[in-house]
Amino acid sequence: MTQTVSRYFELRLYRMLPTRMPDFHELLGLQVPPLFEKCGVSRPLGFWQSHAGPYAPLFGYIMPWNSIDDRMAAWKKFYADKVWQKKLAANYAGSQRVDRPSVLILRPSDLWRNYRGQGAVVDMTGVHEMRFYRCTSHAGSGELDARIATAVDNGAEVLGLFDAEIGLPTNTRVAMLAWPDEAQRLMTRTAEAAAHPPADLQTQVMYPIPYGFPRTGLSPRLDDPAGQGADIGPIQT
Amino acid sequence: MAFSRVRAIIGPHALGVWQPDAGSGIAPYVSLSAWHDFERRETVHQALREDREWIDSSASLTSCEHWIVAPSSGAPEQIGPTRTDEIYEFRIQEVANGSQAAAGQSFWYVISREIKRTGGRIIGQFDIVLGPNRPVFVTILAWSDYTALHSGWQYLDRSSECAAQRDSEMAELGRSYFDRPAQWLMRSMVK
Repeated sequence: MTQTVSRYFELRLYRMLPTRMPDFHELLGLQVPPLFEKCGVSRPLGFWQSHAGPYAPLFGYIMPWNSIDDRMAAWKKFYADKVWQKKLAANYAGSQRVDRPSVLILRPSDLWRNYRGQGAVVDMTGVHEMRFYRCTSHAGSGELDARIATAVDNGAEVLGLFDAEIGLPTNTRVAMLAWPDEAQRLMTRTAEAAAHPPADLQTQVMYPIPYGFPRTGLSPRLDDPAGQGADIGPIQT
Repeated sequence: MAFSRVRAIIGPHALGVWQPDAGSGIAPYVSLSAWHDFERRETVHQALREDREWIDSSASLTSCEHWIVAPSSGAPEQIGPTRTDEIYEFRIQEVANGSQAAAGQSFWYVISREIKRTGGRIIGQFDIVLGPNRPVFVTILAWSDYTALHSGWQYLDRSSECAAQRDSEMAELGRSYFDRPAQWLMRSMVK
């Protein structure tokens, strides 16, 4: 398997209204994937739902792009698609499902190269964690790296490390981690608190959704010396 | 000064640069740039990230936030000119989900007309395309001074057109299209 990393990642976080999550599973899991392909929207690399954290109740997914211009054109085509408009109207069924959607553009972080090879296959049986770190300065990278290393030493797998590009303060780093289970995640939080000074950190506990997409993980390609290439094509398996 | 380096590099893409006088979580400055495509934006921002003068002068900046906005429904594409002797009012409002287009129309056809009657200027009205907690409506207004701003909003509070629009929204949704705004009062730094 060859893995590549894209220049940008689009993280879409939907804060759901109560009771409407099942509708979204039907829509995003079954109905939308063929339309994404038809309109040139990147195939999502992972789907999650969450009932714990600042965005909860949350439905989220992440997709790679090599060009924001391509991204804009593809979504424009998607939203104009008659099939999508019909499905959306039917799925709404007269009531709102999403409270607030956030569309965030991230870049692969330099730190990600330290964990290359990790997260090559998304573990669908454990629990995932999305962390938003607010670093006080560039020097904060070392501190973040040390924290991630502690998590890895305690059983976490790094799915992705990102820098904010659009939609979040630029000193925000986003870490996607996979844990064997919730107990391991909680135990490590204690170890992290003991080993590191307090951090400006928000965490969202996420459960991966197995929609049957071919899974590729999010990690940088292994044969790229820089750890993150410029224009290196879509994620491949 | 960091922002002057931003202007030097972003150059013609910069439509305006403002410094806040008042508002919550006051930022050092706000800038608005127009781009034909994202590749050009990326090229310019990469030049900024690698610029030694920018790196040195921006050391005190803890962070900044980039949002991608587009002119909202019914709004003119080009923003109005800015002057250094005016007060600029930035308003960022979450909009009822599903009502983004209606909110844009409401602002342009009702609220903005009333603002103009009071002597205020509409510099721009935008929807956030890429960013958090969408849909979000952004407006930039210009007032000759604080007194004009104050009396302008007093006028809008008494406006029968605005009241009728609000009643119509209440009848349709049970709420206004717009949430309470986050507001900043700013001065233009571009002469």
